[in-house]
Parts: sequence; C-alpha cells; structure tokens
Amino acid sequence: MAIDSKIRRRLQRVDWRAIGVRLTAHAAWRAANLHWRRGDPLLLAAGKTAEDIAMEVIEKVLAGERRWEPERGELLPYLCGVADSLVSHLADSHDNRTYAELDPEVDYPGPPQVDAGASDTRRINDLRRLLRSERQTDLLEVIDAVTLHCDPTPKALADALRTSTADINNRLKRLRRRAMRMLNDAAPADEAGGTHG
Amino acid sequence: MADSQRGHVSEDRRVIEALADLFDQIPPENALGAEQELTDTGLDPARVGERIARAVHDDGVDPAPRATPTSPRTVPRSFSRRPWLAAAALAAVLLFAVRTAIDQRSEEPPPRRMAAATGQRPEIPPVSADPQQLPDAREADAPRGLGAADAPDAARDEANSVVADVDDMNPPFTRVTGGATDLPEGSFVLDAANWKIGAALLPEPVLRRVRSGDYWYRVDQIDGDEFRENYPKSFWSDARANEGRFAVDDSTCGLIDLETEAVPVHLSGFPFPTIDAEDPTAGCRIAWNMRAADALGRGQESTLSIDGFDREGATKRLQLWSRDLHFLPDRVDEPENLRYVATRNVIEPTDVDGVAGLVQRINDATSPDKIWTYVPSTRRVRRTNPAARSEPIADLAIFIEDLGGFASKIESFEWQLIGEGETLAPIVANKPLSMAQVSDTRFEIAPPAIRAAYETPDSHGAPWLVVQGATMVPRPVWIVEGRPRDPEHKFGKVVFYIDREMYRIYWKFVHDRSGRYFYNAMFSYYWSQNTDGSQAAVIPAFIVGVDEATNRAAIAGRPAGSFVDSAFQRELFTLRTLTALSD
Repeated sequence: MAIDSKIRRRLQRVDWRAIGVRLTAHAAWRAANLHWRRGDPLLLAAGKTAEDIAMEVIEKVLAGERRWEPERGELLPYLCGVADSLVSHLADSHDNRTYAELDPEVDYPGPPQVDAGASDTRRINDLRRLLRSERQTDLLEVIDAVTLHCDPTPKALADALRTSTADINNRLKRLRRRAMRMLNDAAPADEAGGTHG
Repeated sequence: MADSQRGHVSEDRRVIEALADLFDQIPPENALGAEQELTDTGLDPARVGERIARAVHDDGVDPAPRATPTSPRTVPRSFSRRPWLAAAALAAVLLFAVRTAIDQRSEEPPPRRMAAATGQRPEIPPVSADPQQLPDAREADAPRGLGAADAPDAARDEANSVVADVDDMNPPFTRVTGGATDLPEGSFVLDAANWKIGAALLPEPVLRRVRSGDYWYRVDQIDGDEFRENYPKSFWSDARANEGRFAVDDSTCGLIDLETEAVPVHLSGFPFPTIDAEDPTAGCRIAWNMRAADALGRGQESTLSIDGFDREGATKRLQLWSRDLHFLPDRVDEPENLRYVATRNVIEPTDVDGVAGLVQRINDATSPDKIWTYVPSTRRVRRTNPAARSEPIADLAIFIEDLGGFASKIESFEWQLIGEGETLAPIVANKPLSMAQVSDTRFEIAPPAIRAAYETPDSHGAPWLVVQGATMVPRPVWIVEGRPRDPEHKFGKVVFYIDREMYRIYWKFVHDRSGRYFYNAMFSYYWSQNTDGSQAAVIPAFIVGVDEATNRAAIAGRPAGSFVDSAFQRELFTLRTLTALSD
C-alpha cells in the first residue's frame, strides 16, 4: 500500500533516533507489564525483542500498512498504540501456539501441574519479603493498600495513603522496577524448575 | 485445596492484577523514562536510537538532524495554555521541597574533613594536606591496592596498579603507574579500593561516597599552562591590565573602578588578577573574578535538562532553555543601568511548558535582582524575591541558585576566603571546544555527550554518577564561604571550591540557616573559542546536586547544544517578551 506523499514528507522530518528510543521503551514497558500480569517470561513469541517490535511498527507505518493520520494525533502515541496491539497479539499467539503444538493423537501424560494460584502467592510474598528486607516501607504501603481493596488508581491510592498523586506515581515507578528486577532474577530458577508450581 | 486457601490464592491474583493495572498507568512519559526503561531491560538507548534511525534511513526516509538549541530566531515555540494547577505546579513544588530538604537534614558532618565545607577557618584543612593529618580517612581499615576483597570491578582493579599506601604519597599521583593500556600514564581510577588517595583531594562528603562505592572517578593529569589557554589571550591580557584598577567596597562587596570611584560600566578580564589571601576582602575579589569569567561570551543560550534521581534511578526530567546576556564586557545597558539579564523557559514536562522567568540585574551594589515569573495558564507575571533562588527546582535535588554555579548577584552575599588547596575538578575537555560561526555574531557549539550511570549499561555506582564525557583532574582552589545577606534566603552559608587560576566553581557545600550541612553540588564547564580566539565563552556543562538528607540527586545541564551570541537583541529580555513566549 503506497504511502501518501504528504505523510511521507512529514515522516521525513521525524527524529527517528529519538522516536525509536521512545517506541522501543514503550514496547519493552508493555511486554514487562504483561510479564508481571501473567507471570510468563516467554511472553513474546518467536523470540522477538522490544527492538524488533519497534522496528516492525515503524516498517508498517512507512509501508503504509498502518496509516498514520496526522490530523488525528501525534506520531509517537500512534506508534505506541500499534506497538501495544502487536505486543498483545504476540502474547496471545504465544498462548495459542502453545496449545496448537500439542498433537491431539498423542496420549500426553497431561499438562504439567502448574498451580498458577500458588505461583501468584509466591510472587506477592517474594516481593513483600524483598521490600521488607530493603526497608522500602513506602512501597509496602502501596501493596497493603491494594490488598485492602483500594481502587487501583494513583488518585485512590494517594487518598488512601494521604499523600500526593505525584508521590504515588513515583512509588509505583520504583515498585514496578523492583518487581521487574525480581521477576528477571527469578526467571532462570523458574525455568530450571520447569513449572511455577 | 481448602476453600479458604483457594480464596487466599485468588486474592493474590487480584493483587497482582491490580498492581498490573497500576503499572499500566505509568508508561515511560519522556525521553528520560524511556532511556531508563531500556537500560533496565539491558538495552543501550543510544545504540537503539542509532539502529532505528539507520534502518529508517535505509528504508528511504532520511532521519531528521539532531535537535539544536532553541533559538529565538530559528525555532519559535508555540505554547499551548495549560490548566492552572498544572502550570503552577513548578512554583508550588519549589516552595514545598526546600522545607522537606531542610527538615530532613543529615547528621552533622564530621569535624575534620568537613571543616572545609563548614567553613570555619581554623578547622579548614588544606585539601592538599599531608594525609597523616587526616585521621578519619586513615583510621579506617580500607582495602589496599590490587586484589582487595571488596574491589568493585576487576577490570578497573587491573587498571589501578596503584600503590595504595598513602603515607608517602606527595603528591599521590606521582605514585600511580597506570597498568591498563587504555589509560595514559599518570591516570587512574579512584574508587573504593584506593579511596585513601582521594583523602587529600576530595571534600569529606564526596570522599565518603567514593569509599562506599557510590562514586568512582577516572583521574587524569592536565598541563596547567595548556589549561589556562582555555581563556583567549585577550582575556588574560585584559586581566593583567586590570591590576590595580579596581577595588571592592568593604561593606557591600560592590566593585569600584578606582579611576572613576564609581561602579564600573565596563569590565573585561579578571578584575583582580592577583589575590592576596591575607586581604579581608579576598573572598569578595575572588567572587568578582568568577563573575568576570561568566561574562566572557557576553550572550549565550543552551537547551538543557534537569534529571532527578533517587537510589532506584531516574525519577523525572525537566527540559528548559536558558538565555543569558552580560553587558559588562561591552558597556552597561542604558538607560536602565543593567549589567546582566536572563530568561529561562520550561519546555518539558508539558504541564509546566511555558513557565518562564526573567532576570534583570542593576549595575549597582545595593539593588536586589528584579525577577519575574510568568505562568501561561493564568497569563500573569509575578515579581519574585531573589531569595527564591534557594528553593529547589521542581522538587528536585537542585536549586535555582546552582544555575551557572552561582546565580545571585555577587553583592547579595558576604564573602570570606577560608582556605586554599587542591581538589579534583570535573573537566569535560582540557582544551577549548571549537565554535562554528553561523552569523556575524553567533557561534554554535556542539557539546560532547555526558552520560551518567543510570543510562549506561554495565555501569555501576550511584545512578547520578557521571561516568562518561568527563574526567577528574587535580586543580588548585580557593575555598570561599558565602553568606546570603537576605534573611529570606534559605541558605545559611555556602562553601565554594573555586579554581585559583580559572575562577570556576567545582564544588559547593550548602548549610541551612541553623548551620547544618545538607547539600552539595559538583560543577563542570566547557570552554570554547573560535579559530582566532576573538570569540570565546565558558558554558556550564553539568551540575550534579546531591541532597544528603534524602539521598536524592539531580543532574542539570548536559546541553544538547549551545550557542554564543555577542549581540542578543535587548528586546529578548523584557517583560513583553516574557509574556509573549507562550503566545
């Protein structure tokens, strides 16, 4: 699909170096969040990295396969939206592929006894333990508030913890970074163990 | 599984999902956040950017050139109006944060090495003092040389064939042999393994962080004569010609032209090429030399960033452009009798985009600076007390007072020379950077990249530690104490380490009104000259501010580009321009 010449001129003026960094970071961020949500380190199928996703998004836009319309919004948010869609698709296709690879004719002994619930418990407990050992009490407060059914919005947390939304956002950034590091550190052990159960 | 246990498990799933929902609401919101995310993922942001730009270029779409500093002539900005609360956020956080910083002060600094920072003359150890006289640096059972158990990095250990016994090191650098092939003779890495070497060269709060592993520095030697050539010959000859031409007023620290017995309307070169350390006005004279160096380029503009950090890494980024014009190198601006004007304008984040400030400094000894702040959403200009420079910028561990090294009027502080010695100074380049002439009066400078640990994969140390683009060199310094005259100013006293020859501030140690030390800042600069030396400037390269109480820090500066303009239009520094910035 040919790209409109006016759009192409607009794209020529883009600082792709800067946009590339922002877009790749967005893809990495989205993938990491899905990792936390699902507990699955093999989130992206076919070994794709965040850089691959960013490149794919840009290629689609440059080729006109995805049409950016400047009058409807700026380029970066549009690209991030395409990246979100790609990451979700890759995550889902990974799940689907896992099932598709099973041969219905074969009498499998059954799926590994993955107790997802126990894995969740362990993850939360590990995170709490880690934060306690580091005396990151302000981050523990966030988890406590969420556990006590506080709405999962920075505003609600700020009200519950009697602090500013900016402070909550800062805490969430730190908490997320800590949680991701914990997941990444734990990944080899999980893989060695074969299951999360 | 029992029902109660199952319920507990599903509860954990709910918490995980809720946290995931929260994480989904905090995407990397700016370039800094993006770089941090990539670094956390193990990717080098610079390499990622290059790779994508190259790929797009290969695809037939030429990437745009790198961003250049905002220029009033070339890049007019259009500012949209923002909600009132968001636009006023910058001012609000300023007021809040300084109280936080002062309320949560750290413990009193230890008496010996911090004496330089506390500024009591009898306790000031010369920074090049015999290490035998530095008990707190020597008493510790520190690792010695190669193979120390807690040496942070084997590769750097290898580079450090340093004889760690400091007893007979005078000066310490002569004993450094430099075992690595990538370090020149005499260069080495100062870190936790050989921190004692720094005992004679670093102020105590900084040395403490070297010892703990927070900081490590590459230390190089420079040729002092070559370093002095950063200022053009004309500047040095003007300085020599100034010998005996100026004095300072004892009570106000005002500069006096001895020929006219009035405040000078022209100044080029250091007004006091020779400093007598016994002169009670020496501190004031040193401050004036410092200001003369600031004014070297007359007008300059940079687009710079301010990055905030805590122990976990980067927290937020501000971007702004800053434009300064000094009149003294030519002639004081009449009829308003101004010696200096400046404008600053916040670009990012978007909620404070367009918040701007204007400074006008009257060329006398007693008038306070006139400062106005403009908030686009309210379309109001407000006059601000100059003491507000002692407020942190946007709740970050850095102060308006830090911009340029010392932002206030010289006469607004009382100055006292309290010591001299040698310190490690952060240097971007030991020779002036070249300038590219782009008009009759304008010269562009492409500053080298400065990178900190948080954005450098496989680096280590505190996130705010500058690890690329600068090196430490030993420099002779005056140690000067400054006390603000305005009781509204939040600083009680500030101890400056100022180059004895180049008159640049390298370190600053700030105490609050109760006398407690709570903050330090490190300053680096780059000098630049055109090919014939007829145009020259010294521009702040970066400032690293560290709040010792909260263990937060900020890096300011690292301009994407700068230019020097000897003929900025005067109209760029008026209230009318200030309000027009957001139109």
